[in-house]
Amino acid sequence: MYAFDYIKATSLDQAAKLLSEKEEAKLLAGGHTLLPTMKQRLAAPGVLVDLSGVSDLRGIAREGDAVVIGAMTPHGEVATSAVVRAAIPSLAELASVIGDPAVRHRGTIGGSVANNDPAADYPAACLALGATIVTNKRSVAADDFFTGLFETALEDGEIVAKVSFPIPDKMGYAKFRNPASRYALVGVCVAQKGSTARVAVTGAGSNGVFRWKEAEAAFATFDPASLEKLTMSPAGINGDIHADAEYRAHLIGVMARRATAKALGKRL
Amino acid sequence: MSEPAPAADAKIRMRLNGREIAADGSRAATLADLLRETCGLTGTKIGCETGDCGACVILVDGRQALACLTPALRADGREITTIEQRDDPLLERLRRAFADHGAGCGFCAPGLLISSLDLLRRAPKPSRRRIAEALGGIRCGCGGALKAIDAVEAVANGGAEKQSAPAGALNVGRSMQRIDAQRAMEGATALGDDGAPHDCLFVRAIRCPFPRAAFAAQDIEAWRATHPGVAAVITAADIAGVNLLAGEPHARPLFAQGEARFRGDIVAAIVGERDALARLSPDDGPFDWTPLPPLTDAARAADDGVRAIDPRRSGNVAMRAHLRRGHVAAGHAQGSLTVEGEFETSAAAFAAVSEKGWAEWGGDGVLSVHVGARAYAACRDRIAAMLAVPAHAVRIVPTQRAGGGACDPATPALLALACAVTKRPVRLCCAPSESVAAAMRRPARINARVSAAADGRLVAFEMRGDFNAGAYLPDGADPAGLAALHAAGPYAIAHVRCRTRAILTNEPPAAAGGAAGRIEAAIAAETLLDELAERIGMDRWAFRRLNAIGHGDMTPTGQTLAASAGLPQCLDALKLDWEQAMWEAQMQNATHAERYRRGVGVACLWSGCGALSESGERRARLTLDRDGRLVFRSDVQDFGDGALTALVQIMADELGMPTSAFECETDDDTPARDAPPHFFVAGRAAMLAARDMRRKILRLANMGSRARLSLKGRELQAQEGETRRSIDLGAMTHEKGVVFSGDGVFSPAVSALDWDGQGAPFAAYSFGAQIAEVEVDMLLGRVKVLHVAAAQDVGRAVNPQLTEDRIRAAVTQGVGVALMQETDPGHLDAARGRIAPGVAEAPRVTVRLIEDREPDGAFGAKSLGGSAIIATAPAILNAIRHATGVAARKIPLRPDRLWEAMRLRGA
Repeated sequence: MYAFDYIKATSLDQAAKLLSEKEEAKLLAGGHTLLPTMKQRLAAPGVLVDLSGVSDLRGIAREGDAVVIGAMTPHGEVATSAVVRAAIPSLAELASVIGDPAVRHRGTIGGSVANNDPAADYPAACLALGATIVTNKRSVAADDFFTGLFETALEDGEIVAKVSFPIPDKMGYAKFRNPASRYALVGVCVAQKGSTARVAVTGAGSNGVFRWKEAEAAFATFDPASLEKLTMSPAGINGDIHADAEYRAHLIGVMARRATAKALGKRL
Repeated sequence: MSEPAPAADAKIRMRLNGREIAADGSRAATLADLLRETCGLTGTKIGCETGDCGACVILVDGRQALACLTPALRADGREITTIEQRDDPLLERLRRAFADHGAGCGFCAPGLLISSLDLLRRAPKPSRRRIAEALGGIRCGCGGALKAIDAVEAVANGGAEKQSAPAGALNVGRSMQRIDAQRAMEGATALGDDGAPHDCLFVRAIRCPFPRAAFAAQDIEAWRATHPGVAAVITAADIAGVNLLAGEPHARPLFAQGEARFRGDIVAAIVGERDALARLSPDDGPFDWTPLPPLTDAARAADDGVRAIDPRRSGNVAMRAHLRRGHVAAGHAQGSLTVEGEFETSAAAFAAVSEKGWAEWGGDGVLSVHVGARAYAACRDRIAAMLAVPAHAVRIVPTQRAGGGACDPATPALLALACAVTKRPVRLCCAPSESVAAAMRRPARINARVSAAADGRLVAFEMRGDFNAGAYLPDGADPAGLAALHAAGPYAIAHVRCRTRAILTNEPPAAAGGAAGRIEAAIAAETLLDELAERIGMDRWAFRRLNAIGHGDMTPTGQTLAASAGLPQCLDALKLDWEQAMWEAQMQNATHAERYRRGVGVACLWSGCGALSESGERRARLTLDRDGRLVFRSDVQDFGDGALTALVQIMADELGMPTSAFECETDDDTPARDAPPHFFVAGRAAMLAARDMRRKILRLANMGSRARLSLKGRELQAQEGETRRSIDLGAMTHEKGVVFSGDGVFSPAVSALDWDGQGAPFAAYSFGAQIAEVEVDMLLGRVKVLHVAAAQDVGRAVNPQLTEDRIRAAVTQGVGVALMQETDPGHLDAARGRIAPGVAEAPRVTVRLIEDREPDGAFGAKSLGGSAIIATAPAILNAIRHATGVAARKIPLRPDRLWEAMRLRGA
């Protein structure tokens, strides 16, 4: 690993200031993605600005029709939050199946969203629920936020402060874990609010998380049967040592139906 | 950090295991560094460095964290708990429970203990499912952790601790705790570079970034001068002796000559301060690279006229093995049914913790290298030859090999050379992402054909196998040769022909071990046997029972099995398991939805005990010194399999002393061998050493052969009936402090093979049979291994618990072979291919021990059971075929492969 300096920020403003002043500065949230990439020398920030001491970035609150989660909230807290469980239980369930206990204690929603790893779980929830990502500068709709593999709309000096999830009528998340490494080979999040349904897919797109609009349009009624005739083309789907593109495309169809069933409180 | 952080105070104040401390954090990037390097607590292990393995789990303010992914300065003001914490009663109870239930090599012990502590603090009475979930992120390489769930449950239920059999009873046959269990659970086991001194320089290999490349050195001195903190750049010119990591004909050099032959091939090494090396990017170094077109496919590399990877050779077929018995064509003609198949298997890699170690000059002028080497005496002699010094000027101090993995032979050589050149203690700590994928199995392609008569008797077996050997052949056992000898399986077949080749390519070389060759061959033969049985219309278990080799039968190499051939017993022991599993699968499939299909498979194994045609002697030495220390010296290494514990049990009974009297050390004088001794050989040598010492003691004490011995400090007592004699060891004459010594020498009865592969390649064979039950998700191609029943003939189970654990671990790894393990070819990251089932994914295993005693083994013992890995993958693949009709041809049978095969069948 390359050498780096470490600064513990005490406020969002200070962190933003450090980020713009220091060349090669990177934000440190849970560190579960940044440190491995540094160890593999894929990233070499000269300065790490630690956000763990910024208290405004933590916490979960219900604000009107939305659940707002501070960027530095670890997955474990989302999974066990009474607020989330009451308002969007399926979001709590999604958080509870990320990684293993050590990862859930340290990994944060802000880190997950800002990093936009193609196998991360939260970006799928953000897209399906139509979340708003609130930064220190502005609010960005999830549809505009995730722009590609590890790419987001975040600009230099911009920091994710919180994520606001509109409370849906129904939501379901189904994930196919790699039997060995436990990462999502494919994860599909389905949400319904009023007359619209949104379907988001993670783990599979060669360009990262995406909305499966054909599936959204296919919902004549919000049930798994509506999706049965749909097939996903393997074009644009990622293939690697764990599974090829055709199989992942197949999994997307199955997981979308399963997520829909879960949203309806059924098993498939 | 290279320079002091401007805004942060590098002083870290924390409460570490109950003590307030202030540590200098200026040199530590991560909390793992701070604990291990600054605070000297090496119980927290470093494995994958990416958050997958769980060996570095600690508690920060009572919550789990991965120390290798936590910046050091985050510990400031926190309370940190590591495996070294000694005043937590709950942790102590967990420690004892883990030691009792099977401790393993110590690599994943921190993860297991700390995760369990965290769980039980939050949920004192967790369900088994919750325990499995809590420990699910922990990867155990050796399988010792598989009983972790039992251990945690025992603590949660406040159950009584497991009682060992009372002392005084015979030790052989007793399930005593491993001799190193307590140390492993205290985090005291030294793995990799644990224990390296603080003033070490660091070594880093300059590795080829291409599968094949020409390279040229720039002005090395000028490069060094512009890189402060770099003490030396070591090249082939610094090697006073021979630049070889292996003897001829394999001849892998430490530093590549002419061109680099694989991605990761080493051309030079940089030695310097840790920070200076940290500043270098992976491709930094005074070399220019010119990528050349590589040959990676074995089939193509074997073609006539293709460029030779090794310019001294005319082609790339580095080795051929041939076995011929009877006339295979005539045999096929006699058969009424023939099946044939081509199989492709993948590469799998060792745990990445191995490429670590350290070296220093001792006060006695001896250079010691601390590494987890596989065959340390051979390693010692190669290094001596490289440095052009006598063998006794080099000492290899083996550190614990995590999960059976061993370091690449380049690692100790780099350390020794760097230490010799710089005259400083040196250390090598290769991150997984930078370590060469030292594959324990290389890809193979096997074509096999089997014929049977109408009555079900096997009449002919034929196979051809091509093993992609990588850029250099491994030292020691070669998979292709072992495949040819074992391919026909443990069956009586009159006509056999096996031809295998090891083919050089521009891929990383294989490391020896891991049952390579035997696994691939068993997959081919056993899956074809299932297809054959079905075509004949015979029960698959009965088909194997009919053909199983047994006492008095002849092997394909023409060797008659005079004794200890317990395959028929193994199969008989599984008969009820088979009938029940088949019935249950039938019921389940008839009454349940089509989504999930059950299947049952059976497979047999055999495995020669010891190295192929291993000639000459294996030695063991037992010494009793004037201070009353009883020390076993051998070249046996325990990698979590409990081999040393079993050897101590054997010696304790032979010598007539309790197991607690023994200490184990490595023997620096042992002759060089390409492979460590097999348990069958080591056990016999240890027994003879104990026998020799007992004879000498009784002669001096003038006592009869029934005398009982005991040791109290320096006083050695012998008692027979009313007669008692006492020997004051301190007052005895001695040589270098040794009063009594016992030497054991054992030469297994083997012979060289003739041109047709006929002869006695092994003195003993272990046998086994397994039944696997699977459930296949027909929609997703996902396979769940529900249960494996494993019967294994080990000759004698010296320590039944340990043997069962070993078999359970082997079976679990076999699940990985069948369904998961696959390394990205040529990828420089050994961790990626080490996909093995975790604690939570381990299947339920029932072990049935068969003890058909081996007359040449100690107390009849011939094996610890590790060869069980060979039958698991074929049993699972057969079960999947039973459930789905899909015959696996490309292994591992990943979910996508199975799904696609099912779709093709349906189409």
